[in-house]
Amino acid sequence: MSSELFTRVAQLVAPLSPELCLLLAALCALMTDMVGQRSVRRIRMVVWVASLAAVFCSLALMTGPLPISLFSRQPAPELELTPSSYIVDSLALSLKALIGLLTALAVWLSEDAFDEERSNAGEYYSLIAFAGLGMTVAVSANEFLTFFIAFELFSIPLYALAAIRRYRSESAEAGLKYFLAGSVSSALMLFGISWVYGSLGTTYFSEFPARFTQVASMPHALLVGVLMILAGLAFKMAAAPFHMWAPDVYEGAPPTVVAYLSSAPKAVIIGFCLRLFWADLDLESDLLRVSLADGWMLVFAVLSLLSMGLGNLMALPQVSLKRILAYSGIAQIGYLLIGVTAAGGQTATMAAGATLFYLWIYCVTNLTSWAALLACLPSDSTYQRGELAGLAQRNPFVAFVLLISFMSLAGVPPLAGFVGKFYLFRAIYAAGMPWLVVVGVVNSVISLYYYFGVLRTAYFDPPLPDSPPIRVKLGVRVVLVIGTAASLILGLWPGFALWSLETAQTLFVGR
Amino acid sequence: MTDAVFFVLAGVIVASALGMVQARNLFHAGLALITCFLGVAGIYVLLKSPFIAALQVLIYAGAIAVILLFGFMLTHHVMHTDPHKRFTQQAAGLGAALAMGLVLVVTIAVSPWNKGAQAVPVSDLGSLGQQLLTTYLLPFELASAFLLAALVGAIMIARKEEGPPPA
Amino acid sequence: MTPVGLQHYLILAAVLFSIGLYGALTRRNAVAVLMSLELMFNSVNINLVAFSHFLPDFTGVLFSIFVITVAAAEVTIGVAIVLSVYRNRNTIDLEQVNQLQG
Repeated sequence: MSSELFTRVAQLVAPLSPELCLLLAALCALMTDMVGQRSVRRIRMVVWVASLAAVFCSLALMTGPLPISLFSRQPAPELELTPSSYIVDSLALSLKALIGLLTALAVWLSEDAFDEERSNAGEYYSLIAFAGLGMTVAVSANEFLTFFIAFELFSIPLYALAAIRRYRSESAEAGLKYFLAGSVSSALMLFGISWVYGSLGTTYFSEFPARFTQVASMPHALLVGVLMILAGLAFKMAAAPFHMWAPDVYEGAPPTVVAYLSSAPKAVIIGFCLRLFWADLDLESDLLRVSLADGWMLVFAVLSLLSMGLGNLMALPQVSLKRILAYSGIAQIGYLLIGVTAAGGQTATMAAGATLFYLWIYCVTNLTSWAALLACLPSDSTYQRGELAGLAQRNPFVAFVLLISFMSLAGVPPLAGFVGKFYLFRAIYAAGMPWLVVVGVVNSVISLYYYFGVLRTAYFDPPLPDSPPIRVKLGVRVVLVIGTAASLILGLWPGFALWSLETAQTLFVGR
Repeated sequence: MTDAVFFVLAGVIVASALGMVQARNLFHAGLALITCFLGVAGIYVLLKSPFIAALQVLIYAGAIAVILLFGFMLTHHVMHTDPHKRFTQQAAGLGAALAMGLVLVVTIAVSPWNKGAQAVPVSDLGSLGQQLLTTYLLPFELASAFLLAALVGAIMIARKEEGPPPA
Repeated sequence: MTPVGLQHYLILAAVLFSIGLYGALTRRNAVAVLMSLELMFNSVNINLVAFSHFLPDFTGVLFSIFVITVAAAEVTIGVAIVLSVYRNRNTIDLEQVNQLQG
């Protein structure tokens, strides 16, 4: 009897272990802050150990039988399948591992970064862990209610984190702008969800295709609803034309927080787009493909085109490093959306694999670039490009990291970013949209200009006379080494890159 | 009879919502907002969801309105008036909202909504609770984590530290 | 005149949503923008409960409980951020709280 109970508990707990790790981390961070001798070091350690444990659990689960469906509902009498609100499949696990890694990197990066990191360590790190928890749940959500709660669970801590430097007016303003943009996007998305629910009578993704066939005529409300959901998601990942908030928020919020909020939520939302829009990647009965034929591919293609074009063109005149990275992030979302577009075509598996592969590369490289800037600029810096002058002489290691990550973001061979973009372009070519390849390549060339502008300052300008010496903290150094190693290995060792890509592709087969 | 009640409530809701977004005096805006929340509660009663109506009165008209009132009492003189935005911005906002409303209303009008036989009263409290703790256990538990995170974040940001602020 | 049905409720919700959107786009006071956002969340709830009643199906009512929860938490964090802005700038006029630009 007791062993049977044990088995049942284990069956529930094991698939949820990455989430539980992060939940425990959040609670332990709060408790450590209150009980006994207060030690910032211990709080940090709790959160990064738990995040790495979440990575480990996700990878371990990937070796087992998949997918695992949890929280199933009684099947509706007229439908045969059993809908479940939570699905642990390889797409979700791969993203959970990425989110766990990004959380751990963000914790290492934050070491002694600003006053509130020490004075409010319990709150700061527990909010990071709560955001991580929300994201790991959101990538597994297979139903709108679960997704919505998880979406809010990672949004709210990020609003608070952006405003965490509460005696700095720019941080407060960044928090306010992020909050207002985020809330409007939540409201749009919710309204869309309510209409999708009203049109189909269910919130379970797996029931959508079957319900859809029961609806007689073309449901305009469904279409408008899905478009509103998409607008809400685009807001959140700062895809053009819903990107206006991003540069201001990136400039005002503390850089360690921006490093996290500019990478991890994008992974969640791209993953969710793959799940919602192309859920049954190879099935003809796919909900949205039926409802608008290839129209959805075009919608994603336009979003991608606008993001790439606007992001790259707006980045050109910038002198603030934070704004350059913000606009480059908008452009990068455009490249990722190429992959999402291609996933709606005939070669869905290949495209989804390429998207996942590039997502890993982009998130880690983006976080590494922020880490490099954080390492070489003083904490009261305004992040002007000129402040990087002579970096190569002042600290060759940080300059090298900056070189590698920016060239990888720009897609210069032979780095990881190039490999990732190459697979994305191949996927969209195979999906029958060669014009998007042309747009993507032209954009990559444009982006070279501003990435190299920064690198030129770092490598060829003489250092300013009174530049302070650069001392890189241990945590930041770890992040720099990991990020650079990833860019170099995936780029220079094609065998490994190919293996990762194939793994990413197999994730989608047989789901 | 219910039809008449619906139209009266709808009129109250729309009028008070318009009053809220137009009122220059924020205190008046707050009162209009509470009226609007109470009207929406009446709509839930019409839709035979008394539980949601109760929640609406308690949480929206009670808690949320109070927090909002606190919000502007702590940041404003109560009788302070809020100036208008520039005319172009007003017009752009109005245009966007009208376009949105038009798209939504036209879509509602042309869509063949699933008109099921409205026989079963769906929201009896017992089965609601049962669903919440079985099928929807996960979002229910997540909501607790979510509220804790919001609480921690809000207190941390709003709190004023003793002594001089850190440099 | 047709009896009041699902579409009437939906139109009411759509109108409320648009009014909220108008307020969120045009108000200058941050707290007033928060109030407009609440109108938008309310309109979503009208939708959900109306669908739940007319489908009929359970989920909408359940969903609306969670929407109310989320709206309460959002407003809390929103007011906290607004207070923080006020502490730093002594104003919550969104036209003046615009240091970050470019």
